[in-house]
Amino acid sequence: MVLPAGSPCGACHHNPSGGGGRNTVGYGVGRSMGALKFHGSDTNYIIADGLSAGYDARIQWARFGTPYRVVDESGNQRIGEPEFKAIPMQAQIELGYEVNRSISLYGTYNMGPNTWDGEWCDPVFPGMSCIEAALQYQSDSMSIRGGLIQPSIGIRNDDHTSLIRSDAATPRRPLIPPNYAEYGAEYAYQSSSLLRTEIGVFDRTRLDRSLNTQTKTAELGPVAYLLRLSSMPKFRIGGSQPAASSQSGQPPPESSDDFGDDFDDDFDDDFDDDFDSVPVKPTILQTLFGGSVFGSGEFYILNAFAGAGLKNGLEMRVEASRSVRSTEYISHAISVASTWAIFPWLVPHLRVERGTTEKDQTYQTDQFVFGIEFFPLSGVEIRPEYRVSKTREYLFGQPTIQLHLFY
Amino acid sequence: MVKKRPDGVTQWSPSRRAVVKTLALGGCAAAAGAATGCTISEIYGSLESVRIEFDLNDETYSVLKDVGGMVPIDEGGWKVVLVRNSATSVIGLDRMCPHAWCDMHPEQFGAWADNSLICICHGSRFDAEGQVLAGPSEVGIAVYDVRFDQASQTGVLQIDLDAEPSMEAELPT
Repeated sequence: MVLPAGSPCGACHHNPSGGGGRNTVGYGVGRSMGALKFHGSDTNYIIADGLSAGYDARIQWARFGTPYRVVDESGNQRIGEPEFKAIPMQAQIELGYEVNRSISLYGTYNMGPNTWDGEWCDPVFPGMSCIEAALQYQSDSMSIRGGLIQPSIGIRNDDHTSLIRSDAATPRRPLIPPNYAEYGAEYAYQSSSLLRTEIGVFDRTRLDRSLNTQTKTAELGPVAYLLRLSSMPKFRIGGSQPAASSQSGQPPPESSDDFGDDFDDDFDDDFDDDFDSVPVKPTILQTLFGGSVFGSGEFYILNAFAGAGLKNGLEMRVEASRSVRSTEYISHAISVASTWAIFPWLVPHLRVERGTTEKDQTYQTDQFVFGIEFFPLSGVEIRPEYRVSKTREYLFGQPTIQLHLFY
Repeated sequence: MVKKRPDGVTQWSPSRRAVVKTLALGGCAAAAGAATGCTISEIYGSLESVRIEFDLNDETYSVLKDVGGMVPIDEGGWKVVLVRNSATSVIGLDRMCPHAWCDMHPEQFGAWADNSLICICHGSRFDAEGQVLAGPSEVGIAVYDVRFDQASQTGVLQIDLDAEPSMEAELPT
């Protein structure tokens, strides 16, 4: 969402890397996305000012699994398909507390398949965390957060089937699982107008579970490390309408650097309860470039990403990854994705990916996803998609539908 | 629906009727797509009869020296896992969990514990005869013919498409 929104993840989420609970600004953005709007509270505060709550719940209808071969008593072979059914894919509760302008706390709790049967922590994939919780301090140029947090690896993606964090030999089991989190700390510094640096040190217990459950694939070190560099320059192309507010009487910078102040100005101008007053400014091109490396011992995952987008319009991004587990298990992946906000409530999207893994032999997986994010109401998303997955063993294409409720 | 502001910025402003119409059409399209299936399914290659001789002194099969060791076999279109389930026997089980077709490969979703094959996708468990011990799978898995000689630490896995399922494999000479 960074590219079409023109603002970084932390502008809308308590978590500066995105995902999870939304702050007041993010809540307002979510409220403005519905085709049919309702006038509710101006904030998602509960009980007291600064204490916000939210949730994300997803139900997915799909054929879960892969096509399989059936041999009958006569020896005739046919292809069977998994049954089309619904599963609760995500049930997450979020809390955030803004102590003051600089200090905040946030946390999420993810339910699992058997939570209602009494298992309060029931991760689906090894390495997933049921909880994410952090205390963070931020100033104009830096922030530091610590707790049980997800390292800022590459671009955070809602879709855990993306090959960027997976292994082409086992595409249905991600390398870095969704809701991955470790105990640790991450420091971010906006050292210049165009460069953001993030450095982190973490425990690697859940990483060990993800990589080495059942079969040991990498000897990990005592800790895990992260280094991420990114830049989000804006460019003015054509037109003459400045990107930032003119209330101050000052012209906006050519390329935005301090995302806090510029975003506040833009947001105040852009978001109103009346949809008719939401401006579309296609002359500002938001870009994103960067890379990250996360690893421990014999394992690392290296990500590089780039993207460009028109505010509330078309955006495109590319991300590539290389992950290594010892010298005998090397994976590469590339993902090209695009969204087009025809309306704020109707956003088609497309993603094409290829992943390869060199292990005892070469594995290759290709994936294609086309769908539409449709927000009939604020806080409700209906996402029909067509997904195709091709490995060296099978080709499987199917329509899916996701219902996403969020606050 | 489409307005041009005095400053030249284009605005999209749908009417309530347009929104409802879009919602209805989109919902119908999605429901129709889901209902008709619109799936593409293809599995490459075809099943063939296979005979695989294995030697635990071979590095590929050395994990079978220990009880609980698992070796995946992909031959002739079959997905099998050899498991050393006791000090004296090796068994061959189908790797594909019938619940959601997760591959119970030791590096993917399969684990052996308490004398049962566990699909860690959703927790289904199968005993050494392929019977379901715990769901959510409601269907068991196939057991393939494996003959194992503890003294020589060798064995053979044989799957014959044309023969009766109970045919016994012949040990290598």
